[in-house]
Amino acid sequence: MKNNRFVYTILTPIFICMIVFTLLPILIGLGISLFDYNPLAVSSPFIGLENFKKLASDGVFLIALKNTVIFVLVTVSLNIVLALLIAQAISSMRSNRTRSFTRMIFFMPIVAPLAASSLVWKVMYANKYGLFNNILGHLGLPAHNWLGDPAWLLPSIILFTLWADIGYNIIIFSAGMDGIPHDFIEAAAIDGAGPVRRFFFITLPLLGRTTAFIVTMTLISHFQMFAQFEIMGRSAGSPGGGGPNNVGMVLTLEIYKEAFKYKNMGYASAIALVLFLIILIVTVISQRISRSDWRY
Amino acid sequence: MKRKLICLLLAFMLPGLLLTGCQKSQTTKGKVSDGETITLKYWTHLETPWNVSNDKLIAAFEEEYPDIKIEVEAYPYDDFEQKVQTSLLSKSGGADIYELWGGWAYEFAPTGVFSPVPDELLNDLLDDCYEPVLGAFEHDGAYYGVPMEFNAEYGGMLVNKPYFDEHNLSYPDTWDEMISLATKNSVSKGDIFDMRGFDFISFDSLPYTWLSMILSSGGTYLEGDTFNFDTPIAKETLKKLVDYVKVNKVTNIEGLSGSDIENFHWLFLDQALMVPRGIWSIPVGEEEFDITYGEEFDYVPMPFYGTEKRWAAETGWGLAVNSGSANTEAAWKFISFCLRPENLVQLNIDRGMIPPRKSVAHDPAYVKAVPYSKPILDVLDGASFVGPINTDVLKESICNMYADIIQNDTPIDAAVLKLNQDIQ
Repeated sequence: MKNNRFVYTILTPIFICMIVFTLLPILIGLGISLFDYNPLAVSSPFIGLENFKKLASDGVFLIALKNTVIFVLVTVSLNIVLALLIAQAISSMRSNRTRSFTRMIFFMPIVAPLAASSLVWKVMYANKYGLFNNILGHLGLPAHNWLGDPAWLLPSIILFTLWADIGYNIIIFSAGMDGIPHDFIEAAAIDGAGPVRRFFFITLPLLGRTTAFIVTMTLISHFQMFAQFEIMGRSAGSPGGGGPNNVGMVLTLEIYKEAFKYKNMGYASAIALVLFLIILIVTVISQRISRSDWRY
Repeated sequence: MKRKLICLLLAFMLPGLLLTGCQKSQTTKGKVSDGETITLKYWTHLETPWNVSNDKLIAAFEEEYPDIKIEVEAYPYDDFEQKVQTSLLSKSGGADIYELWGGWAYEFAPTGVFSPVPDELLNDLLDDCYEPVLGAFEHDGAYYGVPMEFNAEYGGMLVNKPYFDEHNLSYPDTWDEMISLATKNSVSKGDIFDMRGFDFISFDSLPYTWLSMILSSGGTYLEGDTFNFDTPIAKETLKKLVDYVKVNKVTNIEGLSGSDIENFHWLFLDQALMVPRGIWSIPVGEEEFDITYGEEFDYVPMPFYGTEKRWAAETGWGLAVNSGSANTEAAWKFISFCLRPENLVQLNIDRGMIPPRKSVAHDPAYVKAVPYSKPILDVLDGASFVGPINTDVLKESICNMYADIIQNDTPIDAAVLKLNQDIQ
């Protein structure tokens, strides 16, 4: 009882912080979404669910929603599959030094701020003097307007995001693989299982919890990606990113533009709430699907 | 026991420290530093010619008014609007004097965050300022800021002088000549241009070229305070601009699509022939590209599309005083000092901008010091206020519509209707 009192006393300040800095902003955001709140306006009338109704007919929001879903589905799937394969390849390396070096190489982009690497890649994607078009030119292939062509903008950002973000998952998968008792792999090998079968029937199932963690965290972080859409989709002199005619718009960028460029804070809060609900639902589903009730 | 006490202490210190960070900041506005000297905080955007000219002006002001000190804080342009907005709305911190883009002022003016311009100064300006630069600061008959420059994005254009000389070409006198020259001299392979004949594609150039084409054709896009682009002249001129890219191929829409290179950069890189931009681009070119006006490039009058010499004008940078400042009187004293003809001339010479006052714009000292301003000075009287809107919103909506037409073949009729909706 005495111990419990101590625990409650210790935890109370932390909960106060969580309420003030996490729960309250969410509730205030929910409240604001019910008002036509523009901080520059003289009054902010209560409009109920009007902001949410407006979403259904807002072309830019629908583009942003579609782009966000496509971006998350493609990037998260590719990220996890590639990270898993690369981690397996790294784990198969015999030399500890080579393993560490390879992990370091893949982890390096994580160290750079996303905004900075977005700028560097933007230069590489440039139409006339960019690295990619120069390579295509040397190969005798036609150049692409990577960030200007609606068909290429999202794939270009996806490619960049994979490069920038995959290292983290490789490290986690590698750690997970290192934690699998070697006995299981050896036993399977003695039973005649080749490397592919060992990967699919031993390594992959035993990485269940690691995979669940990675899927959840990658989903959440990718739904919240912002910097590359703002930087790569912005033209010189323009007031904001999102690409020509908003073809590269995503929900986070739409929230930012509505709130801080157009000062529609109420509407931006409504979009933020939709994004919050999407992330919540997707996270719960992914947790349910990847639930495992075993341990080794 | 001792460990528990330390844990408890740390546990309560954490939220304490965090909540301390949330407390209202102490305002530094209108600080009286030693009982006699007033210190005014002045926020401006970061741009070398602007900052250098400010420093010179402030030094002169402080010499004349030793009891007032100006503390300058400069912020990158991309963050500046948001920074100004946040400080004004939170009503704490911030500055006494704000540099303000006229296009933003339109939204701030009705909120009461700025102190109205004193009558004496206002009467002086109303008689002498060009309409487009003052219009954005007006709300319900009162004015909440004053212009320091006239940022014309139309009326003149940069031309590639060496190219014209080498090919024995003359600068165009008419719109048709200009398009014909541009079409003949554009060189591209697919989407990659080696020479852009007439690069009107940028977030500033495209909207102002289109709006000015409408006005010079005798049309209008403003019905009272409402924008309407669903008119025959607006659609006809828009069709021309679409054709220049799709049929004449005088440029592409790279300037609207993720490029960090603006249209005037192409000209300074010897990869464009004619580019409609404001004269502010000239000092930028000379400083960043190390090229010389009159040698590597020229600035010449831009032909009008229609028969009337009417064009739509951007507003420009101005100054406003925080209504919450404890020293509005001292702040207005500084602004009045800046607006004195002799100071305004020097300020606009240093920045390479057009002065907002008629008496100053045609001052021989200014014309001599900024010779490239002549094409714009000659047409200043035909400038119209762009309209009551945040110009960033207007420009972005027009550019989005244009990209939609070019990339998706959206019919012009549908595109202008959507534009009307987007900017209401």
